[in-house]
Amino acid sequence: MGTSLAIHAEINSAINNDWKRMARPGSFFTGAQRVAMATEARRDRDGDPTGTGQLSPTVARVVRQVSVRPMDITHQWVDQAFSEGLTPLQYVEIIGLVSRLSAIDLFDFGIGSDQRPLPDPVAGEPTGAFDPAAQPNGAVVPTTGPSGASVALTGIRAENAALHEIHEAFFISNTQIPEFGLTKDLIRPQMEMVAARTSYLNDCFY
Amino acid sequence: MFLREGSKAHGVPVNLLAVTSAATDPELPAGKELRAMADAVTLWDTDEIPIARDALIAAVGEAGAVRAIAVAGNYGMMNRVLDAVLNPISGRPATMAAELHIEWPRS
Repeated sequence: MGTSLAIHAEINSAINNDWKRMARPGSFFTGAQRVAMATEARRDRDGDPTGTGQLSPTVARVVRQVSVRPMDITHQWVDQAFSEGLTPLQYVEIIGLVSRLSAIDLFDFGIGSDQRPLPDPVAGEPTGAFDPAAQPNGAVVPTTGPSGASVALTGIRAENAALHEIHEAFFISNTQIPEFGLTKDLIRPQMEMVAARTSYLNDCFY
Repeated sequence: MFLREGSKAHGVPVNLLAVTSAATDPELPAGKELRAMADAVTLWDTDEIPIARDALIAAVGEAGAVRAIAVAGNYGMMNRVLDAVLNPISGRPATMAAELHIEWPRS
């Protein structure tokens, strides 16, 4: 089922770009593994424990946690995943992919559209790309500056850029954050009411 | 808090307690409808979503409603990212928690 609502071009463009991005090899995972992560993230959300058989138990567990109960993630839990061989930068890639999928699926649900089919994976090897300037800065993943929302995924440039593309299209750009007098279809406090309520419901206090 | 700063910049009222209390009138224009939409989207509430969407379109128009849904999606994403990387909490969380009448630190 589609929606009768007119969707802003920048939102459609960001979603289409993300779907293409999901299908391609990332820095540390193949396209098939990335699409498998999305498949399992959706199943986890629906309470379906069926795996795809394409992810390691550690990766599958991280996907499930980020998709369903991110608020329960602790240092101990992350340390356990890292002790099983997951690297901090692999963790960045999983977080980025699953989080953006959540944004898009929530949006489709909100506008009354069916969940869009996942893309077919593109063949190829992971690029191995990361930002060597990223260092420990207070979070459990390396960042290029003091930890915070705007730099959370900077360990992998492509993941950071993808996050910001969705952020700007769905909400506002980082440079617009201090513009409290801004209007973008809604006045800023109306957007912030949605933001604050959503964060409260998600038990997120960052 | 960005909500308060936005209300000051636009010269519109807002009751911050409405963020955490569904019984509190947000006082913000279309605040009740925006909050109901955030609830329905975030909680994947299939019963409430069409009701919330229609009410929000009536209150702020179609473009505004789409934007509100997108903002809820965006925060679904950002909440996951910040929770997952265990971003250190900055600012004055205890002060903000007191304003919103929520427990701090979280149990």
